[in-house]
Amino acid sequence: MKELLIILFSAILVDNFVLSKFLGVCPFLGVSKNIKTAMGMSFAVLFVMVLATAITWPIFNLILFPLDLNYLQTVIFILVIASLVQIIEVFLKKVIPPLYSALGIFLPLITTNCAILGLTILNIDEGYTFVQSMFSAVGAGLGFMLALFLFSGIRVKVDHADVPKFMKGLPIALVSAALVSISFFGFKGLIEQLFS
Amino acid sequence: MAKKKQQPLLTIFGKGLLRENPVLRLVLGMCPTLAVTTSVENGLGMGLAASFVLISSNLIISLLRNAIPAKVRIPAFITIIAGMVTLVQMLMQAFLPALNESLGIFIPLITVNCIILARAEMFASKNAVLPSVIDGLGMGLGYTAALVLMGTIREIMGNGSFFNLSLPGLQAGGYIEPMLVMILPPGGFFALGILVAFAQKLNAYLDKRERQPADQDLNCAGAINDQTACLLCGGCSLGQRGEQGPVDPETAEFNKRGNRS
Amino acid sequence: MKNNSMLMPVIVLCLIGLITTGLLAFTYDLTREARETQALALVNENRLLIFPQAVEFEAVEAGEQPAETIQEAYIAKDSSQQTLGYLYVAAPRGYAGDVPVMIGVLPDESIQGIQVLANDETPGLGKKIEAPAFLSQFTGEAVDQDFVTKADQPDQYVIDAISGATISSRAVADAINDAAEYHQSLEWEVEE
Repeated sequence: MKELLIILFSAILVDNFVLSKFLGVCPFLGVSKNIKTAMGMSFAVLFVMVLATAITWPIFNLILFPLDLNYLQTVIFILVIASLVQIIEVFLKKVIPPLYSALGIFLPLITTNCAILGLTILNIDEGYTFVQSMFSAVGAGLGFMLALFLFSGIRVKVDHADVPKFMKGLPIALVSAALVSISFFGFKGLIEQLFS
Repeated sequence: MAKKKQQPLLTIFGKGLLRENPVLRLVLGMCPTLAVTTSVENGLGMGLAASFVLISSNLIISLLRNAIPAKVRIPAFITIIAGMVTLVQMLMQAFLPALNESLGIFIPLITVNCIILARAEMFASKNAVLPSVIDGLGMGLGYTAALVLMGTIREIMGNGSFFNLSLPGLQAGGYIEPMLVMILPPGGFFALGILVAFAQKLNAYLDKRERQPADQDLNCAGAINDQTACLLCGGCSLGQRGEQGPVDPETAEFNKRGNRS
Repeated sequence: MKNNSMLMPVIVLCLIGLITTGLLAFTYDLTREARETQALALVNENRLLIFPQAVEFEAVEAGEQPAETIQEAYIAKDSSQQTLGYLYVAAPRGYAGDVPVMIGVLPDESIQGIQVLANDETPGLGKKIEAPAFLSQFTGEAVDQDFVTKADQPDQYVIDAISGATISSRAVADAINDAAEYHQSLEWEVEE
């Protein structure tokens, strides 16, 4: 259990997907203009991360690895993620309309979100078991949500600030992201202290 | 896209370098740009690997552009791109193992680099082979140049070295101590922010000199009217002038059209 | 007509998938030898830094109860199959994630050399444990001492820790202690 908690909290705070591993930076910059869209995107990412991990882990460990087809990993994983996103979209639309109206518009954006493909590949690279992979998926999703939530709050403020003309828009957003990223340094070493 | 066909090859090649530089102007492919540019060597390696995939996938897709049915074009593009990426990965494992180690997961992640899919959708699927290759070449070069620039800034400031060669006076105890934060994640965001600001400034100057503004809105791979490419970028719609809501209107319309595979 | 328009996309997509797979399989076979040689060279690189004369590293099967952090163990052999020494990789928790450390032990139980493998310690602080200046202090020491960063009992070996990076330095000390424990458990089995 301790090991699982370490994986979970490391993924949220220490090895934050966006701020320390640089995965999923595009949506981080793209949809952080207001908190509502940011949270919608984060929930959709969390949802797809967990499902994608639940599907790609068995595919790799039960099919590709035993058959010595490791080299098809990237191709298979991205196709699985792309079709998964499609299926979720159709399924939600038909079966759970309220959830669809909340997450639906973000789902098509997720296929090319490198955080999803990155997570599934990292879980394999780390040699995680199925349960460990699931914890790392939940942690990565929550970490993405935390980073996006904090950052969108800052961007709302920055948009109203008086910044030099050539720094307006993306440049100042990136500099703010640098500061958020520095603040996450405070969590380094924390896990060590929490669980030992 | 008749407009694009009339462009001379040199214009197609040149626009990727500055006016539509994928990193500094279109703001695509942020993840590797920030993650691997801790040194010039890594930036160059990543840029060349991505350029190879970009050029070859542009080539293949423009060859097959009439054979691929519109309904399945996105999965078809993704398959081709992922195949090319795996090819590059194997070649790097065979001939450049050290670089492969240091780029790590960002090699397979070239697959989801929005630049490549966006260029496939925006350009290669609508243009002949030669312009597509030239487009890939220009975009790839612009991407590599931006990565090398980032790597140069971060390596010199953060590590006091250039291309792994120590620079005298910039080492610990020299005139300027290396600023460690520049090779850490925050330094990546910071360096990119400053570079994009310079690119904006330079672009504004060029606009003034040429008396003709570049494309009105360089959202999403120059996807001014192309919502598909915009969506494929995973919400990279933070253009310099992108004030409109990033996803909602486009997606609503997109879903209505329902032309995804 | 309708049937045809439904079928065509599927056929084309399958064809593209098949051709891609075929191409990859071909490249995979073509580059197999080169990739394996390079991969071996890469894993052997650190091992050869510790035992330059070794030509073979024979993997040791995990014993009954190896220390929790032990990841790998090898016997380094020279060209005449003589045992040069033993290599252990232990990965205790450092400041940011596990820190894998490779420890080379001579048959007389002294440390031949130490290499810190890929880790996520903070560049400029924790990363300094990779520097020869830090690692050379262990060379020649007996491996079965209790390596600590701060002595709380007599007879402990207090390492010269990197200032500002005590946790990272302690990870190296822990790795040596774990390796020593595992080394002794193995020797004991050999004597049986």
